Amino acid sequence: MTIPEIEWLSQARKGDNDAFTNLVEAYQTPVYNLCYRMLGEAGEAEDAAQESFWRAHQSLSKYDPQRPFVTWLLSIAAHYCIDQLRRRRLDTLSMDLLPEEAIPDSGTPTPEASFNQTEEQRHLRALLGTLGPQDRAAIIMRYWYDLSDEEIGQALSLSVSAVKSRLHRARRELARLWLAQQPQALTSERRQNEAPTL
Amino acid sequence: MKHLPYEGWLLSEEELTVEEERTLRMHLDSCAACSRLATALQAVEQEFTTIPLVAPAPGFGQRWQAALVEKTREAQIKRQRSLTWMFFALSALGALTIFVVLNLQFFSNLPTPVEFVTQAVYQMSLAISVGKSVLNLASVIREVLPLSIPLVVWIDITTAFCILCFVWIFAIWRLPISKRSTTK
Repeated sequence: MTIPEIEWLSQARKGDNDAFTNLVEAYQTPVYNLCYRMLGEAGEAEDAAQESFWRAHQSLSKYDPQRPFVTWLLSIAAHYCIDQLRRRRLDTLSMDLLPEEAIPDSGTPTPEASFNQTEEQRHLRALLGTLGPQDRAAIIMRYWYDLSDEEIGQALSLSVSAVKSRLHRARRELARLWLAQQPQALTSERRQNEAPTL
Repeated sequence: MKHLPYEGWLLSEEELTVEEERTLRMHLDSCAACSRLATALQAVEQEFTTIPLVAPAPGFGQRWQAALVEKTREAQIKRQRSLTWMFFALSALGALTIFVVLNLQFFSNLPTPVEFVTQAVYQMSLAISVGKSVLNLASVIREVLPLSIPLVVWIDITTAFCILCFVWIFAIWRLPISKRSTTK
């Protein structure tokens, strides 16, 4: 955390909304990215990120300054997204049934690069979509935010051994899916390269 | 072929000893399944670590500020509603307490449950008969008074009574807000 951020946090805890807005500006990308990776849809991710910041704003007095602020924010966002995914599962709506959404732009202007990125994002979404909400959150926190087992446990209200076991299970599932997708990818690639049978 | 403990080693992030690493490498050379798993894991991890963080659409801060204003207002309305309901609940509880306290003297000196029940039934029938008498009295007044008081005056009285009721309800509803804004 930088010195201005510490100052904003201190002012925000005293009720300064402008200082909290500065914190929102500073942490919007990590929070939004977590929501996007969890929910897989830009509109829902935006709503989830806004709601996470609102919840953080409301419970700022409960924040423990000994804990990294970003981990605390990510914990709020992850819990909200897990709830959303569980609700979505109750509504029997799978991620595969969701309409293909435009992937938010992350600064790649050329059409080719943008296409490749979109494909990558889709593939990534498919991979993450196979995991359960908590496993997904654990994997995202590990690979995108480089959080330790202890930090993930703290953020998701899990024990360290539970985090280890979830990560272990999630990696196996991801590898299994990746292997399952490979023959399809190879087949489609082969088909593209085949000569037309006229 | 046995994949244990090699699969576990591949999937966990624990540091392996030099001996374990050597054994794993030897196993990967001879086991196609574990080798495929290792390749898949590597590919997945590479994909995850190379893709950058996704940023929200521009103007997230402004949207947050607008949402903050809206949500603060909603929270205030919610708080105000719950305060109003609490006030009504407390009023009802107070009225009930007064009713119980006033009626307790009738039941305080009763030694047996039978007498208690008898007294309760008596009190209820008394309350019903009093209610009936009040209704009778009201119907008598309704029949007698219109002869002396014109219809317009009746309408005025009823309207004034309704307005007073509205003012009372509105005052209860608005009071918490004005108090809060003054304290702020």
